[in-house]
Amino acid sequence: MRKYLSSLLLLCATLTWQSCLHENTTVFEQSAIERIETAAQQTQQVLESSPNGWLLRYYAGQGYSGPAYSILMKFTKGHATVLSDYDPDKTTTAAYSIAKDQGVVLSFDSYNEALHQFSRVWEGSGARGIEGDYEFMVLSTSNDTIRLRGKKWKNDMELIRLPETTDWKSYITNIYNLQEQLTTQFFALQLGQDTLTQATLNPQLRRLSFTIDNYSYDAPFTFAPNGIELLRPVTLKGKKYTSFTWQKESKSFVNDELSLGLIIPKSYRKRDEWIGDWRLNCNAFSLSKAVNTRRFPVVLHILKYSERQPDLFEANLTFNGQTYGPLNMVYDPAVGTIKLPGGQILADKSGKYPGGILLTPGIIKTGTLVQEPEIGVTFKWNPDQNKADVEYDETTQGKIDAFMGIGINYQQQPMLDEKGNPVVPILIANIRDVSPVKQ
Amino acid sequence: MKLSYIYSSLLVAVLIGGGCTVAACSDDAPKGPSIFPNTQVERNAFDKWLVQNYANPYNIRFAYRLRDIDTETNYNVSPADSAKATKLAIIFKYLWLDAYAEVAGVDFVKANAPRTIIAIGSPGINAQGLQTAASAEGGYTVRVYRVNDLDQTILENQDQLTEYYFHTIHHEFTHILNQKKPYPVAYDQISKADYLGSEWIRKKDPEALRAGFISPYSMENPGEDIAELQSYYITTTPQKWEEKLNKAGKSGRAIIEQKLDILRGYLKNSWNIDIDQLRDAVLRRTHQVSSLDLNQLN
Repeated sequence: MRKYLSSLLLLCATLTWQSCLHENTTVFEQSAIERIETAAQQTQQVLESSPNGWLLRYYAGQGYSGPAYSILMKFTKGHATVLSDYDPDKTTTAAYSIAKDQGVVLSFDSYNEALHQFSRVWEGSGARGIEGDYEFMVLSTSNDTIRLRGKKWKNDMELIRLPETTDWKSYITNIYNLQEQLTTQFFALQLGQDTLTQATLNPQLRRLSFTIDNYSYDAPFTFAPNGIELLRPVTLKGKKYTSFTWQKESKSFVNDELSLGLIIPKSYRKRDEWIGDWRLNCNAFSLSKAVNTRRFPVVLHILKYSERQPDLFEANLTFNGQTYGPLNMVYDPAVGTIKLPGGQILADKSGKYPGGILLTPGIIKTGTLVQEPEIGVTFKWNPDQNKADVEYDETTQGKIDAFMGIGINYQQQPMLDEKGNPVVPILIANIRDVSPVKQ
Repeated sequence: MKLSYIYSSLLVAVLIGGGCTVAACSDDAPKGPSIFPNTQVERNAFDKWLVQNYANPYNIRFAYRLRDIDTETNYNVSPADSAKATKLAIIFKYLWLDAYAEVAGVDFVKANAPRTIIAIGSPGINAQGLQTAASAEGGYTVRVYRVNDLDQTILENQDQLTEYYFHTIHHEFTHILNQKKPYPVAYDQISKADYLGSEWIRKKDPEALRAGFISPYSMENPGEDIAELQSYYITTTPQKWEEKLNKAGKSGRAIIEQKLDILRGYLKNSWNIDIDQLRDAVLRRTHQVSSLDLNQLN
C-alpha cells in the first residue's frame, strides 16, 4: 500500500514540474481566424472579379455516379446569376455566401432555381435525388481556376473563368443544338481506321462507357458548345484523350486519331420523312361490318409536328371514306420511329358521334379494351421493303392487336346500341404494315 | 498516522505546484488583435425585420439561408426561396407565436417556443418515400419543409395552409410543451390496447375515428396521440370538429372526449392555457391571414 502511495506522490509531484519557457515557433504571421478571414475575402474577390462569370463543370452523384452539367455563373455583390445546360431557358439570380466552416466554403444558401434543382428530391426520386451539391469547399483559387469539392457528395469540380467575349445565351444554345443531333446513344469508337468497340454515350445522363478487352471505361462528361469534355481521359496506346469536337458532317466526336461516330440504325427515319400519307394494311370493320379496304383504304395522314415539341406530330385518319382528326403521334428521335398512342378522342364532322370517337387499343381474341396510358402501335421503317413494320405494345393484359373507335355522346359517355353494347364505328385490327401512299 | 502524513505532503506538493503556475505565467497579458471578428453583419430588409419581430420579442432565430448544419443529413434538400420564406415568416408569427402570446402571454412564448425555426425549400423524403412536412428536434429546433410550394393557391386556401404548414407546427409545439411538463399518465391508459406503432400507416381516417383517435397518426403512441389531438382541436372549427366526432360514432366520440378532457385540464393546470380560447385565437387569425399584407415588411 505504501509503495503505491509513494508512486502516487511522485506522480503528483510531476504535475508541479511545469516549464514556463516560451518556445513558440511562429509558423504563421496571422492567427487562424485572420487567415481564414483573408482567404474568404480573397475568394469572394476572385469570384466577383470575372465580369462575364465562370463555367462550372458540375458533377452530381457520389463518386461521379450522376449526370453532369455545364453551368454558367456570375458573381456580383453577393449575388450569383446561374444558367445551366439542363434548362437553357432558366437564368436565376440569388444571394450566395462565403462560409467558413470546412475551410472556405462557397455556399449557395438562398434558393437559386437553376442550381438547386440538382440538390432537391421530389416524389419518386428516392431520398437522395441526383445527389447534387450546393455547398462547395474551396480547395484553391487562382485568377482563372477555382477548384471546388462538393461538401456533401465530395465530387471535385472546377470553376473556369469565362472570356469576356463568351455569350451566355449562345453558349448554352449551341450545347442544346449539339444535343439535338445526338439521335441515338450508340457510337462507334474508332482509332484511325480501326473500329475498336461500340460505346454508349448517353446525352441525357452525360455519360460515356465502353469496354475494349480488359479496358473498361465509364465516366461522366460535360457538354461544350462544340463538343464534349470528359471527366477522366480515355487512354489508348499510351495517349490520353479528354476533349472531343463534334463534326456535324461525319456525325462524330473527334480528337486527333480517336473518334466516336454516331451509329444510325437501318430503320432510322428522319422526322420530316414521316410526313405524308400512309396506307394501313389491315382488317377494318365499321359497326361490325367488314370495310372493303381496297375501295376504302385506311389512311393515316401525318401532317406536321409542332415547333415547341418537335417529337409531337399531328395526324388525321381516313376510315371508310370519312376523315377524322386530329390525332397525336409521337416521334422517337433516338431510333427514328413514330407511334400512334391510343386513348385519343377523334372529332367527327358528320355529327353522328357528338362527343367524338374514342380510339382505344384492344385485344380482339379476348375482347379486352386496354385503358393503360400511352399504349399503342409503333411504326418502324423497313428500307428493304420500302414500308414500315408494325410493333404492338405489350400490356398487363397481353399484347394489343387492334384499335376500336367507340362513339361518344353529349354526356361524354360511350354510346350504346339497342342491345346495350357500345357503338363501334371504327375497328382496325391486325395491322400488318404501313406503306407510303404515292402521290 | 502514516496516511495523514502522506496526504499532507500531497497537499503541500500540490499547493506549491499551483503557486508556481500562478506566479510564473502571470505576465501573459492578451497580445495582438482579438481572434473574434468584430465586423459589422450586413442585414437586408428581411433580416432586419426578423431581428425586430423574431429575435427581439421572442428570442427566436428564423433561418432562411440554408446551412448544412441546419439540415438533417439523411435528407437532401434545397434552400427556401427568400420571398416565400418572408411570407411564411409573417404568417408564422401571426398565426402561431402571436396566437399563443395572445392567450398565454409573451413570456410563455419566449420561454417555450423553439429557439430556431429553419425554413427549407423542398420536401424531406426518406428512403421509404415518406415525406416530412415539418420536424422538431429536442424542443429547440423546428424545421419547416416545402416552403417553395407556398404559392397563391395555398395562401388563399385556409384549409390547405393549415394542412401544409400549421397543423404540423402546432403538433410539434405540443411535443415541446409535453417534454417540459408531462401530461397526466391517465391519458396513456385510455387507448392503451389500441396503439399500433408504425402500423398506423395502414389505417384510414374513419377507422381511426371509430377507434377513438383523431387521426391515423394518433395511433402510433400516446405522445403522438395527444399532439395530434391538440393540433387538430385548435385548428378545426367547432362545426367541423362536431362532424368529425359524429363520424367517430358513439364509442369513438366518448374516447376522444375523454382524452380531450385530460388535455384541457393539463393545459389549464400546467400552462394556464384555456384550450378553447387558444382555438378561437388560432381560428380567428387563420381567417384573417388573407387580409395580411405579405408583400410588405413592417
